[in-house]
Amino acid sequence: MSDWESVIGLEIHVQLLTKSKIFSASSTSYGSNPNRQASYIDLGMPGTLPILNKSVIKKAVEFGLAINAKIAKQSIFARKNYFYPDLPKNYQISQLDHPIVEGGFVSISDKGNEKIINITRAHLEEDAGKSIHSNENNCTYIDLNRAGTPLLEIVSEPEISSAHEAVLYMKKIHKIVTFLKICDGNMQEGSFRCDANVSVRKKGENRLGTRTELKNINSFRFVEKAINYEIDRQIEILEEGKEIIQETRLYDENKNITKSMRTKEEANDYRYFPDPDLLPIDIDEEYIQDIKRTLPDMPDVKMKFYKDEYKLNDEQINIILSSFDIMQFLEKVISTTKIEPKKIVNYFISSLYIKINKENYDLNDKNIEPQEFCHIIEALESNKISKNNLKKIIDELFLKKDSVDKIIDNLSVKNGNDDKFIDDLIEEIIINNKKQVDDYKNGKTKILGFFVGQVLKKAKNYDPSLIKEKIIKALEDI
Amino acid sequence: MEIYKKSITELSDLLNKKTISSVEMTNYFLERIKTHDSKLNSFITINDKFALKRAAEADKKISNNEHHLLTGIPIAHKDLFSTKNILTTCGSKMLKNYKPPFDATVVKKLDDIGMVNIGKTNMDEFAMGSSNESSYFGVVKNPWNLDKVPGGSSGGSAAAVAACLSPVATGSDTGGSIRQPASFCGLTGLKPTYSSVSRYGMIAYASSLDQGGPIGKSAEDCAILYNEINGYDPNDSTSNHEQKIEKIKLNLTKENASKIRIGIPLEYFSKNLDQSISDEIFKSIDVFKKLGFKIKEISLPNHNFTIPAYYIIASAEASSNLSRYDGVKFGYRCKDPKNLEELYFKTRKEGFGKEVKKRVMIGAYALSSGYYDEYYIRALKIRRIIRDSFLAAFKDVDFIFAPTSPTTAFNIGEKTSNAVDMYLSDIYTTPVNLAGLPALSIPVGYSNNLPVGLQIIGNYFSESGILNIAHFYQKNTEWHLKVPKEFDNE
Amino acid sequence: MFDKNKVKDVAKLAMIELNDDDILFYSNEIEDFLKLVKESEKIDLENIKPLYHSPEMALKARTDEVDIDPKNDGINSAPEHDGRHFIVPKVID
Repeated sequence: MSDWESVIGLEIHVQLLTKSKIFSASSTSYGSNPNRQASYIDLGMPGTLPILNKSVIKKAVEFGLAINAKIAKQSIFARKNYFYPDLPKNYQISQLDHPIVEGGFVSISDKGNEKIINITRAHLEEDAGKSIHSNENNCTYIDLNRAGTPLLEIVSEPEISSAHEAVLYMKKIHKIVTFLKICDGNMQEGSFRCDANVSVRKKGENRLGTRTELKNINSFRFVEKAINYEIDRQIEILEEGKEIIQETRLYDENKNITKSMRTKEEANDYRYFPDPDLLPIDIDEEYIQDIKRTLPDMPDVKMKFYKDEYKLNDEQINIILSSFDIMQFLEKVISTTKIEPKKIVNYFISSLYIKINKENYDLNDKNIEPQEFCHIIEALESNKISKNNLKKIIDELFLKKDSVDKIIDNLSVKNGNDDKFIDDLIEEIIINNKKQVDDYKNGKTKILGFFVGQVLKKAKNYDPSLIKEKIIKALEDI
Repeated sequence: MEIYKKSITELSDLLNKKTISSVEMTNYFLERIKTHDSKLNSFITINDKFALKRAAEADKKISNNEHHLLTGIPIAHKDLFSTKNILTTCGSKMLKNYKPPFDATVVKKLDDIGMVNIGKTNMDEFAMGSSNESSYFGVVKNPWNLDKVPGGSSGGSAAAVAACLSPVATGSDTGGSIRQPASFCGLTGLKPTYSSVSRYGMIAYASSLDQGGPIGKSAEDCAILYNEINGYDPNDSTSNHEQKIEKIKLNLTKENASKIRIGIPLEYFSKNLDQSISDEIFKSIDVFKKLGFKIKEISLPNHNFTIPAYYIIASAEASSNLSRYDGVKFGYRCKDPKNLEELYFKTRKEGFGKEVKKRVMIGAYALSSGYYDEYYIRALKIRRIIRDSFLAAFKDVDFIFAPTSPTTAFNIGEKTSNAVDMYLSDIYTTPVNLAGLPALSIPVGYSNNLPVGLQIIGNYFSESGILNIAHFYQKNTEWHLKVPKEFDNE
Repeated sequence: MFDKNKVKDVAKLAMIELNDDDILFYSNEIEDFLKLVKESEKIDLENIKPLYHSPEMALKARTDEVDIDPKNDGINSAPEHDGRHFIVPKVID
């Protein structure tokens, strides 16, 4: 095994998060009744024509910029011709010679080691419909709801050397596309699909071995298993002196094997040619710069920055980067207040983060704005309010009981040190509770709680620990 | 009253004055169709009930004075324009029972202003043909001589208008399919600039070449229709959204005419052109000279390469456009296919006619691996050369005159066994499609009692100039007013 | 030479079934046509770029909006359907 190395390339199909399809105004939402989201254009009815959705260009460019790729100044749609019942026009509108994104790279980190995986290209295409085979009725049912959904196909260079790296790469791409909100990343619903091209060769060999294409893998876990199985399978065949057949194989997750797809198309001649119903997409520098401006830094860059500049730990970084909304919120807070980012994140984790995770709170609902969160934690830091009031304040804010400032004032802890009111109150309580004072003087230190309680009854929202100190001092003086 | 001979403006006038209602006018033309069409076979579907309903609606609008010039006027649509819930066959067995659930934009625009759709006209199958002999629904005859072809692929529309069964009709032109039948039938037919008329709902043959347009008795009628059907359509990505198009007014004066330079390409008048046609064309050029136009000779080289280039490009696009006909979602389906392969193979074998199958295969071949550069890319390069030679010519002249066809209408059956011969007859029309330019064919004389057509070609979006020149000519001549004897009666 | 085998190959790409007479017919027809094409080989196209559209225009894309009145009744035109799905003979994958 050790004298073999594997060469892997991944083709990831990402369903773009648009409201309508790439060439028609049908909805892209998942799970509708069959053929209820299939318009005349989706069906390819005679006389219908494709109309490009602007948003897919934007999303493709965002992805291209995020991976440092080149954005094509002119990009062309081409027809890929083949017959299949889930392909209504019997051609798929895709891109061949002039894809919208070329080049680019991502880095994957494996146990502290960084590796760059280059990306060949990313292009736009339309998805096909779904076929449901029925043994009992000896027919196949076709649902064209998915036909026309926009896809971005991301092709990596064959630079991945193990199944583990493949998973890291896949997760990286998944993070980028979900972070940018260009895909919802839902693998169960098919929004993020992966095909793997796998081949093996002896270490040191320059030529690539014959590769097979693994299709139908829809989870990170299965990608790793499928690729590992395939690598082993190929090595075994080669070691027996036989040859690898170039073919498409399906992964069977139940048996954990890959099996050959019945070759329904030998070497399919797709007869690609530029789609005459669509004109070239021209993208100028200004458009690209506009998008660049609104694009956030990619997770990698941010990670480094948070570590180096903000001194955040890994757990904190993961939480900030867990969603674009959280990142935006916290960055705004960090830039507004002088409080240390470390502290800010911790406050966030113990309050809002719980709401987001356990109560499904969406930051976009704006029940609390970054400014307001700043006020609250500033009050906490300056001891204006006691720290165990944080959750309470946020709850009250959500219930819209009052403005932030009012809520803070209501709950604010008076600094007992300068407060004559407190001193007088303590004196009064000591005078009126001679028995308890004697108990304390006789060693019953627990009685302090009684005094603190008495003071707090009449002086709400004062810091108990401060009161306690004052009482101890006052009792010492007796 | 000779209603059948009247122009659109005259018919509109009658409706306005309430001399006749739209229902009466529609019935009138439906009667003519009943009487005459068996000789011609120009209609595949006659809309009687539907048309009379629409005519009644038009009459209401007219009586309320909320109507348009075209309200209540009957029109026939070539059977590749989708008409909602009305049979749209494209001249093919593949769609013989197909009723689209939507209207083509061209149809909708004319419906909306109240035109009355009296029927769908016969055509070469999937618009592939120059003689209307390939239709599943039978051959169409030329009203000028029933032994001759009317031209194609819009043969049905041309025959219907020439025999006055409909005042005007729509056609489509990919390689000459409006102009050539117009020429063979003594009519005026306009192929607009590519992109000016929406292709939405037009059953596609070759996407980068197809254009819908009017076939009528005069330039005036064509202009009226063109004014209503052109314009940007968000349902067609290839439709013109950059050039502003003004409504055409036909107001050319002799003074303007003298400022217009017209080019006559030497190469077009070679030995391949019938002498008698050449004679008629030059006679008409003399008339244009007298009317004040400046005529000069120009050169349009390489035009003999257009035929192979055109057929390669059109067939390539068609081979892909026609892949959707597979018996799954619409149209014909073979009986009891045993498996998917059989469904596809048999449906397409049985549903398509010979010429369609041939061009689909030529197209698939031209795009196939190993032949793509040699055939498809080369054809596209020739396209650029042809386009550039037109643009070079338009630096010296404003419009170009050419024959529409090298012959007059030929005999039915004469060219069916020689496809290459048939293809070569498109020599004057196909360059215009490759370049995407506008062109009009008008009748300018006769040869052997058959109409001869002159083509007026202009630069992009110069339909106003083309129609004005033609209208000016027609105001001073009478070729366009003639009706074939057989049909010249009430 | 556009011979019988070529016709069969192309017919397969185009998904059209042909019998022996058809194969002969199309072989001759297409051969004739290709002879015509051969004549255009005389022209020198070395530095010419292909022209895909004329007149040339910019693409006009649409905003990402869902159709407020979607038409999903296209399935009614299908030769075989059950109101919910299109039906084809079983596909063996």
